Amino acid sequence: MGGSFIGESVLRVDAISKVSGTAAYGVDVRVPGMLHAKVVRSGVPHARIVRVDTSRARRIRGVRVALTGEDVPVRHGPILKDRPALALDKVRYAGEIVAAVAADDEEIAQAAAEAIDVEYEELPGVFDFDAALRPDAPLIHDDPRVYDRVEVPGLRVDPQPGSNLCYHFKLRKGDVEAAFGRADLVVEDTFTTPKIQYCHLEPQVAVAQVDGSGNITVWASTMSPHLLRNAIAELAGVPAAKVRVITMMVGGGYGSKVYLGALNPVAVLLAMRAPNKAIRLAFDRQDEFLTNDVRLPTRTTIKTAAMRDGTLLARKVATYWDKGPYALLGPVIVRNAGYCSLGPYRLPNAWIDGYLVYTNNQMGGGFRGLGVPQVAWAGEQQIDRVARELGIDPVEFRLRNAYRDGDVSVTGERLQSVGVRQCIEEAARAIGWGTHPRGGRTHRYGHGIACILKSTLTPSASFATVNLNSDGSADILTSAVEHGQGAHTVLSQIVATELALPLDRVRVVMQDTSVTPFDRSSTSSRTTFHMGNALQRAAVDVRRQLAQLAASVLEVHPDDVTFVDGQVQVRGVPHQSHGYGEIVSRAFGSPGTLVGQGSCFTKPIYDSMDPDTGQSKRPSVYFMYGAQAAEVRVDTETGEYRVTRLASAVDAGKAINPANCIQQIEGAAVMGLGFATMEELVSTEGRLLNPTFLDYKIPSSADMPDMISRIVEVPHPEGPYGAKGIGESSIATTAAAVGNALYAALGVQIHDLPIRAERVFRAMRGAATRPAR
Amino acid sequence: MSGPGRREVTLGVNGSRRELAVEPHWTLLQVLRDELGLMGTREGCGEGACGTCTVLVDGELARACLVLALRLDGQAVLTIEGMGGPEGLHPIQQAFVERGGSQCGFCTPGMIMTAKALLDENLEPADDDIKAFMSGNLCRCGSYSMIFEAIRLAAGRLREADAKR
Repeated sequence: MGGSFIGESVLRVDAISKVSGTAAYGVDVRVPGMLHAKVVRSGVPHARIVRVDTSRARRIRGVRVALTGEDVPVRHGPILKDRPALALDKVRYAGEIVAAVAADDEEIAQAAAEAIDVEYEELPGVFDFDAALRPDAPLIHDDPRVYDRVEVPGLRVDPQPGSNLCYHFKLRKGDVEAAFGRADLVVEDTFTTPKIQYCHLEPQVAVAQVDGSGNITVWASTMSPHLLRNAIAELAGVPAAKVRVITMMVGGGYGSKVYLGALNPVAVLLAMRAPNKAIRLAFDRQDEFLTNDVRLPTRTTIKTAAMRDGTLLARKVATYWDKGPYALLGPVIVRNAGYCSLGPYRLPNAWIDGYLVYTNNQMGGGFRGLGVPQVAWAGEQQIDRVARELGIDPVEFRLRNAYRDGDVSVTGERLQSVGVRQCIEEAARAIGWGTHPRGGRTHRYGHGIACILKSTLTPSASFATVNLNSDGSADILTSAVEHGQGAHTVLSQIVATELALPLDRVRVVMQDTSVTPFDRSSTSSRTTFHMGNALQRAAVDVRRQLAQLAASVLEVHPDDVTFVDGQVQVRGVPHQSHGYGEIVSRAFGSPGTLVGQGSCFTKPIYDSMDPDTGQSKRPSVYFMYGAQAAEVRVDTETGEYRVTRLASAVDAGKAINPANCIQQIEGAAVMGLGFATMEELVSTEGRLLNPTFLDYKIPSSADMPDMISRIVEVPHPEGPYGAKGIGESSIATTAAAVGNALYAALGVQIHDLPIRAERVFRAMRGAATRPAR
Repeated sequence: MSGPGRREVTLGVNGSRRELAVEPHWTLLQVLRDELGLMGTREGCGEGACGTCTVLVDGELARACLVLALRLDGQAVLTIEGMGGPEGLHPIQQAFVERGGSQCGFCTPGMIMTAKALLDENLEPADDDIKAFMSGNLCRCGSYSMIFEAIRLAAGRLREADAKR
């Protein structure tokens, strides 16, 4: 049955293949005769490489290629090209890839990797912000000016020699010091967040093959096939037309698997040395823990000024971000989280500093929420402290200050399509704000709330094609990746609606950069908006062409042609209908294809951010708003606590598939719960102590609170049917919501994540909860 | 097909008898994927901590990444492929589809096998029973609530089917 699928909770198009085990992921790719690769990781966090000797490895029977940085002295990076594919003169984090081998099977490859001898001269390392920024600190990069860089609009990245400061974000609005002077209340606190792991269950994997003509094919588990294609082309020194990236289902990304990363360059460089042999490089779980990127750890000092009636006057914040040794996406994270770090509140005065610091810790990467979870932990807990000290209910306080349509943001933008107040109200209503159980002699209950806004990558672009086939079915050619967020389903709904086709007559083809047009990436909660717009336009293009053909074949005016359920009909001529395929074959005298194209790019609306003031009239094409309320039950003797209920409310603009939205809202909340209550990568002197699921806990079913999810719809005029993005809104609020719930129950604030029972215990006893360092 | 170190083992796999020659150190997971082409069982951690590779061996839950294939001579293995496919889904699979139990889907086969073990043992599990029984299967996408709903739905339908017999 054709019709509108917008707003329908249709079953996911990938559900059956996933429950039957037939869905194909990157780990499932098998090419006949393929070789298997293993990497050698540095075990030391900062050292000069004296010698890498692959001779013993090369002598092992079945070893085909052995590679070191000396063989391929290339660097890459999305902003600053400071990262070697294989370590060159130095290693800068424990886990950096130093060498790689490819062999006939995995066991031989493993034996060969173990037979590679590396001699290091260890150097003093830096493992925290303060040590890294001291004038006499060991330098991660002697002179960052030598690295090539990519110009990113609204970003000035200019690291200087003699310093480990990679980037400094600044935002200045009004006069915060004057505001602090006249405020009725000023509070200041410092908060920290640890590094955590993506833990996507499908590890990173790539199968790379170079044929006799130098054409490179890579089957990659990636969230951005075209970014990867372009980066591989640059790495290999070939035109993009000679590079093909193919992506199937991806078993989780969450911001990992986006750029070249550590794995892809190695797979490609090995393949370039094994002509016509496919090379498979897959990380195991330990590789993931030791070598993959992490959520950037932070330290935030924030100061808030308010009047007695609860009006916010000013906020001043300084956040330090631990980048690890290479820039990657760091500056974008610091900027984008930076200008959202004061929360979704009217502020006449604002001062923001974000410092991105090079260290010898693990690589910081873009992780679901892109820095907002870290800054919200600080900012939203301080809101509760201000509210409490003024004797104002935290929900009421937020509603008094939260953005409305037409308010001016801290960057100077007049905001539109603002759903934060509705989210606060919905979350509070859903948790039953203030009506928790009473508690008893040894335990108490508390409710806490938090809200955020988050930007989306701007400017960016998505292009798409829709092919109408000879039988009236349609192929959807998009490079949007299905990594669990339901993109393929939502995009199918849009195309089926615009083409008046039943849902099972449209199909998203496999992502293949030789076939599916450019999409920036399936990240930043941007796919429904950008690719949704592109595909809606592509489908409308097909419909327009079909109307022209029908008009000519049926000898009517194109405006009288209508489309219903895969059939062309003519206004005023009932009882007659023609299948799309019939129109095409009558028009061409043969089967044919109608190709429609569409795009969505946000450059025209983007206002580049001033690097000194952080001002921009439109830094993000839309904002995501969300609020979350938590109920906790805490033991007042031991500090042990449970999150009993978690209510999330997220502004979707328009929920094209409500069930899909709920999946994403709850999924993000569960990740937020892990960040709040249990996750922490523990390192000493740059060496990871818990690189295993046995010692690094992520939420399991046993940890689940009662989950309530609400969709708020404040439409966006530029989104497809009004839709925005929702995948990250409810991960950013959880830590502060839980912290605020404990604050309500106990009267003490926790400053450091994760909120372990011991920290609650010590906070209750008045001791500091800062990690000992 | 035998190599120098290989030993013979006979497994029942999804109802079919398979005679294989395996290296002593091969895990069931390797044999399923590399020797039998059954790709639905996958590795998430390689150390038995995530549940992604869960299968049933003689009806009992097993971590295919930890079990050595050679030790299973004469035993019956059930994988996700044996539960049903596009030609006909098992009620648990159908319930996962209807209740949105999969996002990225990587944990789904292991989840379904564990759910089968739960419902084989208890067709009326309380919510706490479900949470506890499923706690060895990690879902990073966070689909737990929907997975619980799918299990409740499947349990109800299986109880109905039982009652009709």
